[in-house]
Amino acid sequence: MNLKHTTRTALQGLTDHKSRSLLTTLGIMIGVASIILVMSLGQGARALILDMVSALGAETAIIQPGTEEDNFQGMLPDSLTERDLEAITRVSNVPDLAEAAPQVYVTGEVVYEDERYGATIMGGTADYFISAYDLYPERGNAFTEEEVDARARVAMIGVMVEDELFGEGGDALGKSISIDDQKFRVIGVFPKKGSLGFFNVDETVLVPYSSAATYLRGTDFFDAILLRAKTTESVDRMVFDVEATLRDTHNIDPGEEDDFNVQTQAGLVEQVTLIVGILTAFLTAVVAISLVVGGIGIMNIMLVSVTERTKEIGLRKALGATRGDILRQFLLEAVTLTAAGGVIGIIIGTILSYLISLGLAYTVAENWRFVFPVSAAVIGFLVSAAVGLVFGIYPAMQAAKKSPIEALRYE
Amino acid sequence: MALFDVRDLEKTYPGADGGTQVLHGLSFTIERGEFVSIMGPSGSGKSTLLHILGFLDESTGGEYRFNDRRYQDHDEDEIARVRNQEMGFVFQAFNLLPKASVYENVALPLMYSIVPESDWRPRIERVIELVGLSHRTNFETYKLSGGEKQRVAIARALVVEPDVIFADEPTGNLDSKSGQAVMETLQRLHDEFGHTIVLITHETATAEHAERILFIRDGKLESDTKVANRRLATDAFKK
Repeated sequence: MNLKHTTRTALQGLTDHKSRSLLTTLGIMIGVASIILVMSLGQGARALILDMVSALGAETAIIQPGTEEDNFQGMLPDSLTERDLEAITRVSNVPDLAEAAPQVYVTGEVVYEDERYGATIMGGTADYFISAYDLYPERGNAFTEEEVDARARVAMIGVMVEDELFGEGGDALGKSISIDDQKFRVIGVFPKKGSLGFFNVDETVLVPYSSAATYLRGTDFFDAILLRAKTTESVDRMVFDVEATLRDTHNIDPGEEDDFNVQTQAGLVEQVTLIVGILTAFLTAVVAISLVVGGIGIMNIMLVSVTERTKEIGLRKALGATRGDILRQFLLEAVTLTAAGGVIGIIIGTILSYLISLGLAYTVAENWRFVFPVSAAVIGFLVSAAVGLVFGIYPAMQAAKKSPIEALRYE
Repeated sequence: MALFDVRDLEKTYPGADGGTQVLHGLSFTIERGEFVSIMGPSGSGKSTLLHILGFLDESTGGEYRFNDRRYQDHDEDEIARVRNQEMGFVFQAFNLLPKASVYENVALPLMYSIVPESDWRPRIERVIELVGLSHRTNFETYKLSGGEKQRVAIARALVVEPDVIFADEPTGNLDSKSGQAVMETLQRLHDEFGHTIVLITHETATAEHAERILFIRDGKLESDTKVANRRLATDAFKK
């Protein structure tokens, strides 16, 4: 029997039991849809994070306290202090450094009278925002170095914070807002800017890092120090000097592990790619299990189908079908079933990923983009067809080896 | 050379105590163009004999040649080819594909044959007309009456222009009127077109539509007789 007629026969076999065929391949559909979903969201997340990282600028680097491992456990060790800042800003220590800005992260709400808002509260320097993000206050002023040194109770806020606390069109300038029962005077309002790298300017409250550390955290540790090199080319040299300086101030002996880590943008990109890659691979492996389960389902139903159609098989053999004819017919049925399931799965997965991307863009990160994972679609299709081949071969062999008399006698 | 040459044919199904012997040394020949009934009570071994004659099963003793070929001399694919091109089968239970049309059912053996696809349509239409079902060509077969189904099966057996048509209790599932119509079709194929037909039945009345009856009992050939007063299915219609 030629391929055209084998295909037609196989399709006939499947369409004779439409709802069963559909249910049988449901496992494959869900499996492939999940692959598309995982890969699409993984690639979307990667693109988003890489966007954020590149918004930092190629000449930047960040010092974080603790070893790299500590960081991933969400610990906030206490190794970065004012003394470190002084050491690395000394030109003789780090000649390539253009700017160093400590950061202190604060969790809490901003309150004005009866209004509360869960803003992103950061302690930092105004200079760094201005130079790194080209971000001047639209109204009012930025706080000065003197105010930082004096631990002044002043704040710069984003438009969203202003709208939430003072109502649409309200004016926050000069008013006192509370963070953690500590009063801060609003001296500047940022222009509407949206997401910038890892944070959304509009939702941010920026206070001097010294004030944040003293009043809001009650410690004098920094959560990070942002660095900017004079040129992109000097970043590596700057990082080397910073590491040497900090090892010196922290009295770390040669061979001992650093109690801090310095990340460059290139390093971050590498890390993000690695983490997202590992996560995606892990999730894909989990999903792959569902494909195997789906395949077993296919095998099961194909075996039932072969038994049910014993008589048909016997008839075909009596009329001249060879073992090969029967084998190909049932194998093609299985492959058609799973491949069709794969295609439907790709479509469902794509639609779901698109909807979730829309949802994420709306709620979490407006820069989230939908990514159609071409490679996942191709792999999904090929894998689903392969599942049909692998799990269809046993039932097809069972069908092919039926003896025509046994088969014809079967009631 | 006879179309069927059967000598001392034996068949033993494997099992405990040396198995079960069903055929105990049958010998006969059937010439091309004959219409022969193989008759016997149930359990006489006639179905087993049909399976061996139809190359669906292998004998365990004696010798059987069809068109001067033995089952044992060929591999499975060649046996399938012989069944496809030289033999046509009509079964008691019709064994049609219920959701396929009359046309598609009749086309089935051609799919496994080497007949070029361009020849299919004229062949299929000719045999459907021969069994008088042209007006049903595109009907799905589950919608047909029992008699019509059996005539579709006959058309399917004919379409490859085989050397012999095996009809295994073809009227067994039919009422007497439909059965007569089927027998009339078989008789016409033989009388008008010269087809060789081997009919298996346990009913004397049905067997007497043939020209010759081989009577089997307990796996042995009890008698081999010419039918003196051959029944004609067309007569039954006239009554």
